[in-house]
Amino acid sequence: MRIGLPDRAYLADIERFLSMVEEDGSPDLTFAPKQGLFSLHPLVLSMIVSMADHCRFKGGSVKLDGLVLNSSTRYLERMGLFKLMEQETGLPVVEHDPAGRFIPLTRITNNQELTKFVTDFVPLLHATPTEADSVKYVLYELIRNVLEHAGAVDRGAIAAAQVTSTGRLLIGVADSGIGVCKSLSRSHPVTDHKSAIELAFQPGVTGTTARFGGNETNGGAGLFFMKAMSTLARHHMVMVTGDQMMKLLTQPKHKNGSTPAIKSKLEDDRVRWREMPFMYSGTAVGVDITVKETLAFSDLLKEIREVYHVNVRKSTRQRNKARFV
Amino acid sequence: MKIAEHTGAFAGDKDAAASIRDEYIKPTLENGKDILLDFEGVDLATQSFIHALIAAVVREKSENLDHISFKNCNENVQSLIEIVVEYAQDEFE
Repeated sequence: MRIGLPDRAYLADIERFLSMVEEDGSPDLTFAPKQGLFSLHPLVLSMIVSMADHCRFKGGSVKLDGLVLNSSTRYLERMGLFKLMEQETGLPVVEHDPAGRFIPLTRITNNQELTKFVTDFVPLLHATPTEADSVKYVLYELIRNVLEHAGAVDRGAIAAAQVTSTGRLLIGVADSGIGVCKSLSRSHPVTDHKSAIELAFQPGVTGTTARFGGNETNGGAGLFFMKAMSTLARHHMVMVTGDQMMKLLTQPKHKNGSTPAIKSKLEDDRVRWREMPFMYSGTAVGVDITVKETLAFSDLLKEIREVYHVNVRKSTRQRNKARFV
Repeated sequence: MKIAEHTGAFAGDKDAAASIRDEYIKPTLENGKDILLDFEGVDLATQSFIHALIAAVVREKSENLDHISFKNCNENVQSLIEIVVEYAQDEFE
């Protein structure tokens, strides 16, 4: 496999990166960053590390080709890309104060490391507690979901985040595990990666049980919550697994200022699919959040609560309610 | 049961939720006693944490809710509990 880089690749145009990955039949992975400057979403960086992980797991070797010194490659060094790819570059790195700007690529293998990752990072955003709630929630649940279903304990999940000058938080998380299709097929009759992604976003579906609604530990609502948050914030969300890329497109703004509608099924959303020319072994998810002016977390939960029951059959029996004292 | 003693201000770890469920909630309900889940000091919880904490006991027998009280929940935590309690009583298609 050979990985090149485009001038830029963010969630809106992540296809630019995907088209630079070439399956050349070699068991080895060659990373050949372009000679000029480039700008990348953290999702791209997490995917590159995960592809290197997968290559080594399969017995191949990882190498760099044509690395030059410029501000873009120094950025890759500061983000910890080469370190996690186990590549010595000799690139000089000028340390910058990372406060409020980025969180380097981090390998997370358990809940304790995940909690530390989120706890350490969120204060750097200088966000108000209300703003930080959404960020903290998304970071934690996104990574936990990938980690939990990766099926690759030692390699874990690779996560990174960056804050843009406009206050947008870009989050990427990727693993080199079994992928969504294999994870869900343990309990559901899925045969291809696209239908597996659609099923994974449906509330109540989890790979841990065939029962809709999940079991006592998994509710199957994690990805649905992420999608709902992206929809309401009018941002992109991307998932890559197997031979498929799914991109949740941004919601159009209406003149009456109405809130975008959350859909319980991905097939009813504004989504773009792309069949990739290579197989991505694992799962990668990218999400953008606006740190400032984000929808209040409590309002977001109210919206989700309204939609969650769309695809469930209402029971005729009386429901019990939680008692708050 | 003070949840924050097991989770800190951010209740996200499902392993901690499962531990509270299996070591406190289920045995207490089996003994016919009432439960008080005190969320004082918990600023934020995740849906997956609340699910692991209570979905099983609600799904098994929704009347179990008559024996559980939720105390000191902020607006977000209360919303998440209500969401989980509702869907734990849903019948999925």
